[in-house]
Amino acid sequence: MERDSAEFDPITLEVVRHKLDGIANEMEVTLLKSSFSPIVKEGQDASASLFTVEGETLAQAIAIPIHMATLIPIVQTIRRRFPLHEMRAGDIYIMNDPYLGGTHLPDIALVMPVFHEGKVVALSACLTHHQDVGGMTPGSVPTNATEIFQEGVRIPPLKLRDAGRMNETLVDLLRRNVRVPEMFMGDLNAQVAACTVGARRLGELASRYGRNHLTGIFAELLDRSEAMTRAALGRIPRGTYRYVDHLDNDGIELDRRIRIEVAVTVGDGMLSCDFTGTADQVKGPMNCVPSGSYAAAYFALRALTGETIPTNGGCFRPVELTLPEGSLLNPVEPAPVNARTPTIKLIANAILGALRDALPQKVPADGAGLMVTQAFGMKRADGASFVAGEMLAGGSGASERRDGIDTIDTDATNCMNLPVEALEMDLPIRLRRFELARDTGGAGHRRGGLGSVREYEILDGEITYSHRGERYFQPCAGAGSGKAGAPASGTLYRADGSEEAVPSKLATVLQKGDRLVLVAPGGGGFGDPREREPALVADDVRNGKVSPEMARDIYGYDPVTR
Amino acid sequence: MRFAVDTGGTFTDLVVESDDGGLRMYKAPTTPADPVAGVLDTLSRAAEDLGESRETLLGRGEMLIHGTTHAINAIVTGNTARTAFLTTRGHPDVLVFREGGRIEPFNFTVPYPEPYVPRSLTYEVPERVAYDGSVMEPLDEQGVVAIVEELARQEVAAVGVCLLWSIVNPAHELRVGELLERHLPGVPYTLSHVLNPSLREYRRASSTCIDASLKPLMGHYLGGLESRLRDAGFGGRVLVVTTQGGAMDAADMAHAPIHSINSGPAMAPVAGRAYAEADTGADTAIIADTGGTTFDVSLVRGGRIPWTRETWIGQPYRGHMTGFPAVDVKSIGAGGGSIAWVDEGGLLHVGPKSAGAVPGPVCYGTGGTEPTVTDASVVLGWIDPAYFLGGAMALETEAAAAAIESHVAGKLGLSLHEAAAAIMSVATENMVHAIEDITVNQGIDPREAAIVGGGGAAGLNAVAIARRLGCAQVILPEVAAALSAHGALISELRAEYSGTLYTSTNGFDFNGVNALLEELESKCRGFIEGPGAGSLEQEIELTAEARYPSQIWEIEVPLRGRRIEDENALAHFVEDFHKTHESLFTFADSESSIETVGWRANVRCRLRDGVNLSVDGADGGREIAGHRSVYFTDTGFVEARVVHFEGMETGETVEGPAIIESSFTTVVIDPGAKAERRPSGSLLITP
Repeated sequence: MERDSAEFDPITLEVVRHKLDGIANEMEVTLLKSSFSPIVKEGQDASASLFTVEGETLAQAIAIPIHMATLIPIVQTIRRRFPLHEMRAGDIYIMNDPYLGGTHLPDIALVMPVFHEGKVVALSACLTHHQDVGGMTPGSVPTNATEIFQEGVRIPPLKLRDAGRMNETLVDLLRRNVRVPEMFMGDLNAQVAACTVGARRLGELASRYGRNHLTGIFAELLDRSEAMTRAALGRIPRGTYRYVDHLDNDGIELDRRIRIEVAVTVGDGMLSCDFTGTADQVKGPMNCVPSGSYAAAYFALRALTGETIPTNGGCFRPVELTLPEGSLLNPVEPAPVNARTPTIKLIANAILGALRDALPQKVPADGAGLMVTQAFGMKRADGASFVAGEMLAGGSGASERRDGIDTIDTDATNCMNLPVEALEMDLPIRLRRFELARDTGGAGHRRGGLGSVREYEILDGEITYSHRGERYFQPCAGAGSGKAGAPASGTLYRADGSEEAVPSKLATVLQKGDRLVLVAPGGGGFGDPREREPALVADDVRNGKVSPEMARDIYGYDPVTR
Repeated sequence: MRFAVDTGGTFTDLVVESDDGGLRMYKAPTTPADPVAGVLDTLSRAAEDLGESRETLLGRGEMLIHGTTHAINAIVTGNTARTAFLTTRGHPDVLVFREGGRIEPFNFTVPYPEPYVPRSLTYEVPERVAYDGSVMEPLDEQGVVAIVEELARQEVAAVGVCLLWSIVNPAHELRVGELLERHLPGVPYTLSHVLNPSLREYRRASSTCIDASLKPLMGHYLGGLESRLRDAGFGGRVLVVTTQGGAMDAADMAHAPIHSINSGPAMAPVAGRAYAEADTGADTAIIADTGGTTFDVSLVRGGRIPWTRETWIGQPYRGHMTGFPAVDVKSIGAGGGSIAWVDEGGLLHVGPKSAGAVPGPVCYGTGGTEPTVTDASVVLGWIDPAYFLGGAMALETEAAAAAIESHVAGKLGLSLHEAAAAIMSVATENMVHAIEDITVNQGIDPREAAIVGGGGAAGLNAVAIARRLGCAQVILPEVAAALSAHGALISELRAEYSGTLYTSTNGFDFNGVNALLEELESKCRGFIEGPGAGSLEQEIELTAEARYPSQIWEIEVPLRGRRIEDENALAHFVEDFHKTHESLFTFADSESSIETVGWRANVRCRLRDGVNLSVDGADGGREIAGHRSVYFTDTGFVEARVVHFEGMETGETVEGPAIIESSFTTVVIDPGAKAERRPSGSLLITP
């Protein structure tokens, strides 16, 4: 369609743009506030987006970057399966199959067409990480899975609701395949609610501006973001940049590190990432279907091109990926894929690491972020099953001007802490300790953020426990002459007095009296630690972030002569 | 007679309400080193104007309602007390971790704040209570005493105590309080379960430490205010405006000073709503309060003043959470005192630094050397140098011009008047951006809202702002220069009490819940009989914070009665919960049981039937200047009509270019705009 930019006055464009963001945020609030599983609220592991009828992102609620782009292939699959002219008002489509465009099985997407005067004007979509979708372990993130069939129920693109009528057959089938049907349905209802809110608000917008004018505005907004992104890419020095990082292991072959290699090429307003050289697909569940690599690349792109560009599908047009088939990043069915989050985070980290050579002032040292995901499953006293997930964050990487942040989720995820009182109210677990782990931040002129220690004590019953760690064997690298952060570690103290080291991935049963101590990793340092200002080292010692020994030996700080 | 005094960054505003409801307003410079002096100065001005002694005037007063930025200024400038944080052993980093999360997930350059209390002043108390209130580890009193002795050595001036699960079993916190009193007498402390008995340790700990850190300072300030008012002859009651847009007794505020954090700005929307309704009938309005130092924007939406439940000092996730709800006000550093400066790259900036009351703008002749928005307005001919504050302060135009020449015009290669006009344009842009942030960014089209201007500097660029935003109407109340103080006169006495009691509608704990409701209600009754005695109307509202089983967040559901006596009342409550849930989230699970976590009681006491909108006592007698030469960017110098605000008849219109002046404010009517005097006394401007 021919459009003349002049026909859109800047205030209308801005109002519509912010209105779209506002709608997405309202959907997100509905999802987060009305959801049932802790992982949704504390992990913010749910997100909402609006799409054009062509399947390009119009607006996305700000929560966790990896979700946003991952809705794109899902929406496209659904559009192919249910063409626009067959869609009816009141339809809602559902799917989660990673090999059809999904992410991993717990992430269930809902997509709802938005009608105005009988025509589809946009799509309202959301994705929620469900606490349990069946499979071999409670929580549906088995670190020892070797096939997707062990990971839970697979849902191809289906109608959850047909012209307003719920598909009870499907709902019955799903309820029979998950461990906690009430929680599952609660979260699914919250998703229906979020899509409905989005559709209603978009409908109001269409009434106000008219369908043609509104879709014209949508196209204009996407084009503008694309142009701004290409201009921003043009400011990055042209060239090809490389980086290599490793995952600890795949949860099956514990001693084998998994290589992620990338060559990033910037030029002609494009960003191309070639992952040739990355490990072959693995037996365990660290494999990552293509949507994950796109999410990581979009994150890196958005992080580097600046926060002032409105985020929508236009920003994503200049991205091109090469993902060798049969590799970790483009696995072949039926490879397991549930534990792909750390893979995505390392992909993002690798792309940014490569571009550090081009933009040393903009890219910080490697960060740990969210690197531990745990699931606790148990029977309650009344016999009902219960599953809870928990995620632990480490320190972020230092940058040229700033120390890293202590214990915060970084890059492509954005997880909150589960407040101690919220955790203890829900689970027969006491959190004995949750504090910063001294000396874990990578030393440098700017220090990496600290990781933290969390000590759990099991108060009752028998808990099925699965632990998926990262950065146990491959710490966060420093930048320049900055040092690496301390790696993650973990120890399980059994009630009978025995001890076991937690080897990055673990699936076991915890009993009353068992204690689990987990140390999250620290972020990498930036620049030479001997150049750190003595007053800052003194502050770190006074605040217990750096030990006097480390201050002396690594930073060359001598409190006596000061 | 009632007084409302609002201490801003630059001016202290007073509105006097006589027994027949008539209003008069006064202004005096704020005295930052001793803000109470500024309060007394305004009262002196009122006494002088009314032809009586200050003592006589104060003797007639039954109530003084005070808005103050003292607490927030102390936090922002880092001048709060040296505060220690006492926490449960094993959990020293509650204030470091917060609740996690980043507000801009794509932007990793965003700095993260230091904890409100540093780790070096955080102490771990040997004790542990479980979620059901049972004691898992008894309190080691010897250990506490050792900590308290260390606090003394560290010369700590305030202590915040927040122990895990103190909301269920407060015994350990109470005992720590006793040990603090015995071993550290005279050092104020705050116990979390007393101040903010809510679930989730970060928000409770943050409330507690912020509150404790304000106690020495606010105790001293409010005590001094009250005693000096008494010494000056005031025998009435001293109230302080709260962040929630209510009022409480100064002595009570000293015990929980966290409630004074946004005292002042919180009242502008209350007044703004009244004017928007009276002057245009609009129920959506933007309240833009331009003082000397800050520009505070708030909204009225559908007749309601939006609140935020999660209030942060600074930005969400990056600041410190207060743990209490607040009227939603956005503040930026832009006002009459904002300083204009040119950066190394040759770009003109205005603010956020302000000349404030001391040294003040250059034209005050009180030591300021850097040009401000006020200086630019004088140079442009907008403000009459001989009639500032009704002539109380003669302004030095030449000094203002020289400062603009050397700091701005010279550096930018502009003429003096072009530079002064550019300063005004940049200030206008900053303000427009702040308004867009709370309207456009939330999907509200500012073109559909009326702007209500408040603050002494509002009239300078209200028309320019409205034109930039496309707003069709601007209201400038007669009382604009003291809008927050006027709002304070409308305020109600308010208090909120809460408690935590977990139960489920499967096996509902009737006895426990009703005992807690009884306790909360009796606290409200105590409030009504105490601070609320003699009020016109009282209202108690009881609400439950409830959720579906294992849902993460609770929603608030008002109770129909005062108790949940029986299965029938419980059924009503359950029905109300499902309805509320459905209206918020579009779905309800009517088969499901419901869990309740927290219970709240709000009490409000109305003090007045209504408050006048127009001001009495025009300072008549002034000769209207008729015309003067005024500079606008589009026209250069033009002859503009000069009209006296109080002299305008109801229904009279003035077309721009014109200047409408009163003792307290100057309203610039740009060429092409039109102002009409409304029956309320306000100017209704079509920009």
